[in-house]
Amino acid sequence: MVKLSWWKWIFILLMPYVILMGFLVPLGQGITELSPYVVYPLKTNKLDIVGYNTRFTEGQSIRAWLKQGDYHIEADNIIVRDERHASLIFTIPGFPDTSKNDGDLSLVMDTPDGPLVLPSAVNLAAVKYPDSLALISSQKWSTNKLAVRAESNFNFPFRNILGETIRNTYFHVPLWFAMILLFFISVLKSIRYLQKKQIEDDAKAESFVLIGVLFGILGTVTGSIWAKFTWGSFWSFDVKQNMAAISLLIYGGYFIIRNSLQDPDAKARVSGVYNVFAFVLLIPLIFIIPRRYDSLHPGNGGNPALGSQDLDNTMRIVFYPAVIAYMICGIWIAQLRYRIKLIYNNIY
Amino acid sequence: MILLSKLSAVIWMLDVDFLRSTGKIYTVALVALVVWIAVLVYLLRLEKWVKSIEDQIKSK
Repeated sequence: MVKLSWWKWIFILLMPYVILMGFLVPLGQGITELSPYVVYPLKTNKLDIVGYNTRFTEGQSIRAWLKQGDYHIEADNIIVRDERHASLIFTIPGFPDTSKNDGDLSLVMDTPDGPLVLPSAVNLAAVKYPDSLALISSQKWSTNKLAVRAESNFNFPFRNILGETIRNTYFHVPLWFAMILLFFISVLKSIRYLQKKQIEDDAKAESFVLIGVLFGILGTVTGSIWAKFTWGSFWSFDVKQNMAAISLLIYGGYFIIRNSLQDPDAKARVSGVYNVFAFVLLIPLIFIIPRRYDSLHPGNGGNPALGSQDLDNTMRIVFYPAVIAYMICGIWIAQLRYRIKLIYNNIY
Repeated sequence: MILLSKLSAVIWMLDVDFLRSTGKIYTVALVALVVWIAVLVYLLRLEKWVKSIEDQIKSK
């Protein structure tokens, strides 16, 4: 067996953990289908739902609410057909908030396993009715705190549209984190070369840029595959997709410059300066510009993606080790590459 | 099954969820593990080879 540095062992131990946890932890409960899409005030509405990983049983204490802002109304009755199918009967007394008289209502359910949420589940039809009718129903919109039991099992959140593909968070996103780290290390080596003029630093810089571009291409490809299943097409000209592609093309220019020069010192100097420029461009392209625009990517259109809305706490215990594992993997591969490069170029 | 589900959260994971009930998620996890093991073996062999050449150079 080969003697390995301590940090390589971290990668060897973390990766099976990430793979096993990433695939085998079940998802929480969710609602995949709901019909009809419109509910009417002053009427009894019957909503049929199909759940995911739900275990509805007759006689269980399940409750359901339709919620708009601070107001919610409880279901009169819940008819359970089987573990995944149920019908919810709502009598809607009128509009909750007289300032806006229609809009989307969210569905919140409380089951023994924990809460179920479907945001923007139904649309409350803006039907005109005389004010005298508004008080007839016995149900009233309430602003009391919803009594929902806590999630009792360890699972990943079920998000609409994403479903099981949320597991891709552990395999697609860390590629980008690792790419940024590799480009950062490469720019440090380039600057070091420009200061000290030792050719080893240039070899290291080139290796790290190459592996960074590799991870970037993998990230783009995996992201496109994920987008095909969730956003509908491989390339949506989403701002983050565009900016990532532009950054990769800029780093592709690094290799073109290197190949155009023969003298190793000139090669190292010019490509070192180009590397600094490329990294300086990377920061606004990938971090700043996507946050200024609405985007299909979670966490854009204002907020970074690692906030509490986008990344559940149960996901963090697999996501952060995955990021560390991918970073170490990238550094290991790049290190192997420049060691071989140094041997072949007789630099030792 | 219902009795089992009344126990702690970890034991609930043994209960069958929808995707696991089709058995296909185990195939996916196994494929991912196999791919990763292949990458790891390749990296380790590379390490061994580079180490041997570096040792040769050092000993000269």
